[in-house]
Amino acid sequence: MSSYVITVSIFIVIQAIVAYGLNIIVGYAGQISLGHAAFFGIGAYSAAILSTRAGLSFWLAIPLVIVITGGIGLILGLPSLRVKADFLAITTIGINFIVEAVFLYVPFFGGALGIGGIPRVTFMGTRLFGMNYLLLCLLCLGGVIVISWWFTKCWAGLACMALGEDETAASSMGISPVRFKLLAFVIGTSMAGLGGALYAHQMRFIAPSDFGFPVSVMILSLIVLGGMGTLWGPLLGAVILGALPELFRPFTEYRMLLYGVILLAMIRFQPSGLLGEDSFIRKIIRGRKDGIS
Amino acid sequence: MNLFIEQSLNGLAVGSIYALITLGLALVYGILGVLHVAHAGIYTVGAYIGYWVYVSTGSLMIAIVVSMIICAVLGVLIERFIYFPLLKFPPYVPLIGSIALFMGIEEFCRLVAGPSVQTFSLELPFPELEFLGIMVSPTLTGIFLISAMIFGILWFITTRTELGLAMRATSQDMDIASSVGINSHRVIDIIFILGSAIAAVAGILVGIYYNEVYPAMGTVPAYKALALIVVGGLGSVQGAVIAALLLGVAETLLIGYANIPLPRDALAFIAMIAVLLWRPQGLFSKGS
Amino acid sequence: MAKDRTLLKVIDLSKHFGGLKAVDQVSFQLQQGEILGLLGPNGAGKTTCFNMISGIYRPTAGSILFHEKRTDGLTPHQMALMGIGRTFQIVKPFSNMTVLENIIVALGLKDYPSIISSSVRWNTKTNRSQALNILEQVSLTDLQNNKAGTLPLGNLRRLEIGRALALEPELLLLDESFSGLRHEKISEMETLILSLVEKGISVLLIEHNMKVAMNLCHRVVVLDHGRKLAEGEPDSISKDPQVIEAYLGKGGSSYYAASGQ
Repeated sequence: MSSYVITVSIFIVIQAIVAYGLNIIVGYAGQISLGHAAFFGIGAYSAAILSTRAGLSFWLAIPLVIVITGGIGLILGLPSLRVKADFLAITTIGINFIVEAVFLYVPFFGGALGIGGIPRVTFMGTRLFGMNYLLLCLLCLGGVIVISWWFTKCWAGLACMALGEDETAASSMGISPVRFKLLAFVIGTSMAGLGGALYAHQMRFIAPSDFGFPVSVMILSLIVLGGMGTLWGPLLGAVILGALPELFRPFTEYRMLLYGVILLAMIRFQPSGLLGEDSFIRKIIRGRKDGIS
Repeated sequence: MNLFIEQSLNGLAVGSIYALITLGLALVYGILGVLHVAHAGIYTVGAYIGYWVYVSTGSLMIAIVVSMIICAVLGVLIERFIYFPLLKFPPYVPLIGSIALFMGIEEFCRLVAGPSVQTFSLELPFPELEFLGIMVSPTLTGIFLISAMIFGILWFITTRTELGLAMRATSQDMDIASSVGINSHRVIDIIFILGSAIAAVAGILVGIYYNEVYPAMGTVPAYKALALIVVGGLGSVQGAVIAALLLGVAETLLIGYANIPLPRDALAFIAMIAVLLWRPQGLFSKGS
Repeated sequence: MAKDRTLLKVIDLSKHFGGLKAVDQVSFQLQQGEILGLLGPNGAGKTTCFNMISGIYRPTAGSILFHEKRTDGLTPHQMALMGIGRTFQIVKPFSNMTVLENIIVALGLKDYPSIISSSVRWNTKTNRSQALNILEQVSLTDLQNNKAGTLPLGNLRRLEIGRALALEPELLLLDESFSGLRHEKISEMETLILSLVEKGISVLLIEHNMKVAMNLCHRVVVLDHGRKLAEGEPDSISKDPQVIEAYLGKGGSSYYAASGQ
């Protein structure tokens, strides 16, 4: 595999990890979050600061990064989730802008130039980059997928899905809306934080504009394309939207336009995504099955 | 003191423009429950069209009229082909569609017109006035007069005409309004026509006021308008307008007068968070 | 009947909306094992009263005691944990889940409160058979794998009851369970509710359909204009002139007497 393909793949895997986090919040728990990139950023900056200023190794820093990101998710989630659905959308956009502004204006975070010189991850003495780093990322992706899968199988996941269907009814069955929405939010933002850390050590330079609102939209479009609330949707979306601009190299100019058009087309004609319930892919598969029987 | 008045007037002008943009957004939210982020895209398109028509014809009047017409059509197309079919889904579906559309429009403008800034240098053909010892530039005067005219017309339509009654009824309850014989879909069309045409005017005014037209000019207004309708109270059009005026004045005074080093664009969101914490139903709750 | 124990005590319950006294110092009690009806003409305040008991509204004044413990001001999910289940007049199924899954959600009641227990699998054989058991009780077994959103109203009402049953409640709050039902379905529903009582569940219901309510309830509480008008057994209540007047207006009582009811 050429190093170019590896680099693109690493990026796709990192995006997928962040998307899986959003999938838990939006896809499973049915909560709108349009500011997910903020937590991607919090993870990246935490990792950057812990490694460049505190000199912590990646392996020691990672649990901290996850706790910090999830913790901030908890703090921001508490007031947000008590707010009505329409407000929630705008509030999460606001969170994205404010977090980005904090990274931009608070000197501790390096301002517009961000933080540079982030060291590579080392494992048993060797620096991980290229194929090795891709493997590390894939490992993390695997972990995130397993957690997502487990989430749908356990009571907490069922509770979140019931909440997404009808909050009043779920509440009358012993499901505390605040508790479970927060749980989904914390898990989702922690995953984004993990992705952020991996991103920081890959890019080795991060800046506030890497985590702005357009990035949140991009992550959302990944899961809309793949299928919100499905197990493989985020990965599928990440692969397609990650590979597409690379395949259309001559058309990189049109990349953002492409994202917009794809997202618009998907949401207009197939809101449940490629792997969603009513998608044409599923219909084709069902059609074949019926044909066989 | 003079500085204060001067900056207040500037702020009021900025606020008036915010109000023009937010008006369309608030109207659409009131009737469809959709956060019409793409509205800012129409605003950008309006600015560009106004600019080009002016450059080709030399007439500001024609530029404004053509821009309003094209944007009105664009608005209705968006409503018919994107929002209306998506109304049956949870509200984040049309919201995502709107955001995608907005991105698409911005990108399209960037690709067609180029990323660089076009200078829209023009002074509005209004007299220079004196107010409390300050010379108010023609542009500022123009902005005040045009905005006031638009607000006046809209107020008249909403409160004195049958159309306005139909608009208010449809906002309250679309089904019941239909059953009383109101053609709800036409009312929705009209709201988009009005809102989009007004956005076009706002775009042109901004282009003239700041002397710049560029593809990303809609981004900041898009999200400020969202924050403003929260502050004003979701569902209250007057609330949003008043909040917009206040924001314009606050922003300008903060930066131009008090010199507080806060990022200017964050003020809208800070105000929004403050409102959500203290008075979640907005400063001026559900009017009409 | 075995020694009666008071399950629910409503004491001087009031709810004011601004100047309007929707519920004004209403008091009554519900005994274990009984079906108590909360009745009254439109606007009497029975729905408001019911919503306070089920935790949707916070009372302006007064208290609600369940097993001598105060429940006013508790959230709906806390009430569920205490053993109070409820249905909704406007049915709220989990439309995209199957009927069976709808029931299973309620079976998780005891597991939701702690992080550890809520990490446990829900789709177990035990849970499925328990859910099936409940579906049998509400006669929805055949529809177990159907998406709840596809069911007609009558079945959705049964599903609501099924879900509430799965909570193993001591008290079941039924919110207009008969509204919108056709004739045959009404008697089926009556049979179902009576079977619940036989299992030891006490029922508080609001109902518009007087005939059904009088037929089904052991006792009724009649509200009018936010105040308690009468409380007692259906027989005596139906002859109470004040009650008749409230429903039929002045002069109605003579009509009522004349019709030999």
